Amino acid sequence: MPLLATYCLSCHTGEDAKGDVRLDLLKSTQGVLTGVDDLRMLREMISTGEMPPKKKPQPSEHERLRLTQWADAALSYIPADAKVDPGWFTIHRLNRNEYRATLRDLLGIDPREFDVAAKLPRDDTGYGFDNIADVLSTSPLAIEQYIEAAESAVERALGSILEFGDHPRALKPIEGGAAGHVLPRGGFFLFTNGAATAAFRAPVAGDYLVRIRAWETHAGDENAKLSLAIDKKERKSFAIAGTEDKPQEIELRVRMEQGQHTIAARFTNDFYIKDKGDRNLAVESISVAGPLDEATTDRTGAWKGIFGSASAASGDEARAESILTAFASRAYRKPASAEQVHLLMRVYQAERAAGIAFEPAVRTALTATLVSPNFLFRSVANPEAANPAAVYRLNGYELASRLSYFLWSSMPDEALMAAAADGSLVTDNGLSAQVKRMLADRRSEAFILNFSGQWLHIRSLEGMAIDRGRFPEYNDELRNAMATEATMFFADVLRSDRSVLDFVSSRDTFLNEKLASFYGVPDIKGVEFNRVTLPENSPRGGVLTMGAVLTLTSNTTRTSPVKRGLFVLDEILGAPPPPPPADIPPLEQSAHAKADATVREQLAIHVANPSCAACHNRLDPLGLSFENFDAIGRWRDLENGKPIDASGTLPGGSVINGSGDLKRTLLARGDQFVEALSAKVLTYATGRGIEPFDRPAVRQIATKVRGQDDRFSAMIEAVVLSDTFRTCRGRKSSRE
Amino acid sequence: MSNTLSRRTVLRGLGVTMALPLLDIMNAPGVRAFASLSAAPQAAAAAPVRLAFVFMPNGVNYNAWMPAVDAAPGVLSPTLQSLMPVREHVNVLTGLTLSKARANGDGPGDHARSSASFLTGHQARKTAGNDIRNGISIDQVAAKEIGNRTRLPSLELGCENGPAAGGCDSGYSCAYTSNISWRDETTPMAKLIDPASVFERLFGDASQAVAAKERMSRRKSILDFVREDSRGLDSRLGNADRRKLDQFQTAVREIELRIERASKESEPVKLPGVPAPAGIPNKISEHIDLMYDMMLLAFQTDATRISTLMLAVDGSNRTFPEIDIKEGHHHLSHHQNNQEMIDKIRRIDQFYVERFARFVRRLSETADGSGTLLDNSLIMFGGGICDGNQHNHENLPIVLAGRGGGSVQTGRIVRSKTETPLCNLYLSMLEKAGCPLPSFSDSTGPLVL
Repeated sequence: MPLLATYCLSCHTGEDAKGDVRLDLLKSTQGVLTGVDDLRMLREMISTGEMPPKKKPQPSEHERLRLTQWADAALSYIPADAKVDPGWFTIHRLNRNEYRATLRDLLGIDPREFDVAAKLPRDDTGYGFDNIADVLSTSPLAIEQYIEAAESAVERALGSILEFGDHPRALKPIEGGAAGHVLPRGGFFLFTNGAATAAFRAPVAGDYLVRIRAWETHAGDENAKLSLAIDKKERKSFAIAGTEDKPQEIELRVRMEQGQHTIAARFTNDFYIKDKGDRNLAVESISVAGPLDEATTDRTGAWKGIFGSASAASGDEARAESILTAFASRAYRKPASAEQVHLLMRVYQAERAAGIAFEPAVRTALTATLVSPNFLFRSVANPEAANPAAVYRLNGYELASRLSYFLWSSMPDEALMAAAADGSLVTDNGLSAQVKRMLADRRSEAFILNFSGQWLHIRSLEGMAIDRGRFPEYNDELRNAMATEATMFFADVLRSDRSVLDFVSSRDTFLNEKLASFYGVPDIKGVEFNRVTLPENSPRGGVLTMGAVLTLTSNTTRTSPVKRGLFVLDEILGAPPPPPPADIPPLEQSAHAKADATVREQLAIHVANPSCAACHNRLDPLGLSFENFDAIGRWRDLENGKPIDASGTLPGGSVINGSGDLKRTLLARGDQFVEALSAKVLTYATGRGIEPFDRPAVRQIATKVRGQDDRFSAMIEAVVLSDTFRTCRGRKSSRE
Repeated sequence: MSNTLSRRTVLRGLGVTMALPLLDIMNAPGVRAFASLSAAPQAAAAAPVRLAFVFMPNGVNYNAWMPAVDAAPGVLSPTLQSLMPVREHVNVLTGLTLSKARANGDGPGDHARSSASFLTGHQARKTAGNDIRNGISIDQVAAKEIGNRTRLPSLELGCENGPAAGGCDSGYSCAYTSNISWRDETTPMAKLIDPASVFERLFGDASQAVAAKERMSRRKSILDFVREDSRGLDSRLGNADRRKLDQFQTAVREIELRIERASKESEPVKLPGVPAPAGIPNKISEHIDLMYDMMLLAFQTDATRISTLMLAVDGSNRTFPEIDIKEGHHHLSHHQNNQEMIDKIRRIDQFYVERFARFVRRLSETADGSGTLLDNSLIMFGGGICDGNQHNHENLPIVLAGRGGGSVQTGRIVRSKTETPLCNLYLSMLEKAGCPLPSFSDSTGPLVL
C-alpha cells in the first residue's frame, strides 16, 4: 500500500514507532494477520481525520477512502488454514436470567409465580449481551441479595417447615361485607344471609382441621344454620344452638391443596318477622390446625425430591449427608467432592449443635449451597490456567454446563448429566445429538428470548418513549404486537431450521389483525398471531423492516437514518464504523436546515462536513433506504409534504433505492452476514467478547454454515463443535 | 405477622413524604438512632460529616448554568434559580476538570469515560467487556476509611438502569456508563433503583427483632461456609479468574463484617417513622425525590454516612413528559447549536436542579446534632461533561451543598483556575469528613473551600 509509505511510515516504523503503532509490519500477510489492532487504529485515525497530525502532509479525501478500504480488506483477510486460538475461559457468574431459570430447574420454582431474582442487582452488559463473564462482577450488595434469595427460594420450594398435629391458628381478619358488622371482640355478626370469611394459605397439600366458634340469636322454629364452605364449595351444614354467653364450637376435617384458600361460614336461614323475632348468626372465630399427620400430607415436588429419597432408617447424620451430596451435585452441576460435602455437613452440624431440629438444619445447608461460588459460578479446572500456550479440553460436566447455559440459560438436565458422566458428550456425535435434543426441548425458548431480545434489541422496545402525541397509533398493544412478531419470527427460523438469510429477507412473517392492518396487509383477523405469506408488493419481510426494529432504531419524535444505518452495519454486517470523533465540529449557524426540512436534508448538511463525511457516507445511505418507514415503522410516501427519497449510493458505487434494494444487496453479501451472526452467536455462547484472534474460528464456523444451506441449526452446531467452545487456554493476566 | 413494616403503605413521591411532619429521628422519643459503634451516648460529640455525590449525565447548557463572570454574591445563574431559597448553604464551583474523561488516545467514548472517571479520576480501560478496569472511587475510599462506623459502609443509589439491549458508548462496556461507584479497579458497586428495596435494606431487619437475630446467626454460618468453600475453588484458578473470585470473597467478607457489627449492637435497628415506599413511581420527579428521601433517611438515622446517586446513566436518552420534553436527553444534548434544542437542554438541567434544591431544603429542615443535617453534610452535585454538544470535560458544572460540620463557608462562587482537577475537591471533601488523604488520582492538592 504505497499511501502508507507516503503518509504514515515516517513515524510508525520500527521499535520506537509513535504510539506503539507499527505500520511497517503490515507489509507481510503474517503481519496483517497479527496486526489487527494496528490496522483498526489506522482505519479509525485515517477515517476520522485524526491522523496524520495537522502539521504533516494530509491525504486527500479520496486517498483517505482508499486507505480505509484497504484496511477493511486487510482486516477481513484470513487464510483457510489459519490456526484457531480458543481463547480463555473466565469463571462465569450466573446472570439474573440464568439464576432464575436454574432455580426453576433445580427447585421447581415457577418464575411466573415467584421471581427469585427480583431483588438481584441488574447485571452490567458488554458486547451487547448480559452474559459476558468478564463483565459480571459481584458487589457486596449482590452477596446480600444472594443470601436473601437463597433463603426465600428454599422456603418457597420446600414449603414451610411443618409441625404436624392440632396446633390451631386463628385466622384474621374475618370479613363479611354488608351482610353484617364486625364484633367488638373480633369476629363477624351476620344479620342477613351472607358469609363471614377468612383467608388461609396451606403450606402443603394435606388434611386440616377447621374450627369455627359461633352463636345465634334465636327466633322462629329452628336454630341458625351455618354452612361451612371452602373456596365457595359447601362442605357441611351445622345448626348453631350456642348463645352469646355460651358459644358453640364446630369442627370439620378437610383436605386442602397447597396454596391460598377462603374459608367461609355462611348464614343460610335468616328469619325476621316483626314481633316474632330476629334470627342472626355470629361467627366469633375461625381457626385452622394442621397438616394433621404425615400420612395425609402431600409435600411439594422439590421436598420429595430432596428429602424423600434419603432413608430415615440410617440415622440423621447419614441421611443429611445423603441429601446434601445429592443436592450439591445437582446445584454444582458436577458430582460434589467429599470436601465440598464435608463443608456443607459442617453447616448442618453447627445447626444441630445449636439445638435446631433435623429438617431446618438441613435447610440451612441447602440455603448455603445456593450461595456457594460452586453454584453461583461456572468454572473449568484448567490446570495451566496461567499458561496461554497450554490448551485445555473441557471435561464432560464443564461442557454440559456451557451447553445448557448457551441453549437453555439454565443448568443441565439429567440426560445431559448422564452424557457428561458416560463420556459421550465429549465426542462429536454425542455432542451433536445433545444439541439436537436440547434445541427441540421447550427450554431452548430461553435462547430465543435472550439472544433475539439482545441481538435485535427487542428488550429495549418497552423502554422506548415514543412521542405518543405525534404518533397516536402507537400504544402498548401495537408495541407488544411488534415485539411478538420479531420474537416469533426468530423462533420460527430456529424451530423450522430455516436459512439465517431469512432474517435479512423473507416472504413470510407472523401477524395478528392489529399489526397486519398497521402494515397494510389485508384479510388478517383476530388477536392471535399466525404465519402470513406477505403480498407480492409488500415491503415487509425480514427483521430490518419489522415495526420493532424500525421503531427501535428511531428517535422518539422522528426517524434516525444514522441509527438505522448503524444497526445494519453493527448487527447485520458486523462492521461497525468507528464512532463519531470526540469533538464533533459544530455546524455553522448559517448552515441550519429550515424548520420543515426532511431528515434527508438535515443529514445532507451533516455530510457536507468532510470530517463527518467519511463515515456518514457509509452510514447514511443504508439508513436512508428505510425512509419510507416513519419512526414507528409505518409506511409513508411523504415527509412534511415532500415525496420520500429513499435512494443512495453505497460505498463502492452501487446505487440503491429503498429497503428492497438494500435487502437484495445484503443477500448478495451473504458471507458477511453469516460471519457477523456467527460472531454474535459465538459471543453469546462463550460469554466472551470476540477478539482479533477469534477471526479464524469465526470464519471456519461461517464456512460450515454456508455449506449447509445457511441453516440456523448448522450455525449452532458449528459453534458448539468449535474448539473455541470446547477448549480453552490459559491467560497470563486479564490484561490480554 | 403484623408490624409496621409489613404494612406496605402506599407512598408516592413527595406528596406523602412531605405531608408527614419531619421527625427529628435522632431525638424522637422511642426512636433510637443506630448511632456509632460505641453504645454510650456522647451528647457533646460533634455530629459526623455525611458525604454524598450526585451525578447527572450528558453535560449541560453551559451558558445558562455558569455564573456570569461579574456575578454579584448571592446571584445565581438562570439554571440554578431554584437553589435561591437555600443559596446561603450552597457553593457554585467553576473551573474544575476531569482530565481522565478525555480521550487521551482512546478515541470516542466521552459518555462512558465521564461516568467512569467521575468519582475515580481514572482513565477507564477501553473495552466492551473483556477485562474491565477502572480505579477505586472516592466514595469507596471514604467507605474503607470511615465506613466501619455505620451499619452500611456506603449506599449506592440510582434512578435509571442501563439500556436493556445494545451497546452503550463507542466500544465501552455498559459497566462504565451505569456505575459511578467502584469498590476497586474491577468491581463496580451495583446500585439500587427501587426506593422500596432501599428502605428494606436500611430498615428491613427491624421488622422481626427475634427472628432477625436467629437469621443473623444462620447467615453468619452460611457465610463462614461460603468463605471456606470458595478456597477450594481458588486453588484451581488462574490469575484472571482469581481476581473474579477475590471480588466475590471480598464482598462476602464485607457482609460478614456487617453482620458481626450488627450482632454486637445492643439495640435493634429503629424505624424512621415514615412508611415504606411502594416501588418505583411513574413520574421521574417523584422517583428522584424518593431516592433523595432515602438518602436523607439513611443519613438521618446514621445507617451510613456515604452515598452516591446516579440520576441517570451517562448517555441517558430518557424523555421528560412532565416538562413536555419528548425527545431523548442524549439526542437533545447533541444540539448542534439548534436554539430549540439548546433551550430544551436548559429545561432538563433546571428540572434536575429543582429536585436537588428540594433535597437541599429538606436537609436544611432536618435537625441533626446541634444544627441541621445540611450543616453536617457535603453534597456534591454535577456531571463529568460540561457541554454535551462538545463532550468537553473542563469547567464542569458542579455545586457543593452543606457546611461539612462547619468547616466550609457557603453562599459563594468558588472559582478555580482552569484545569484544576476535580479530584482536588474530593481531597478536600474527605479531609472535612475526617479522612485526609495525601492525594487522589490526578489531584494536586485540596481545593480551598
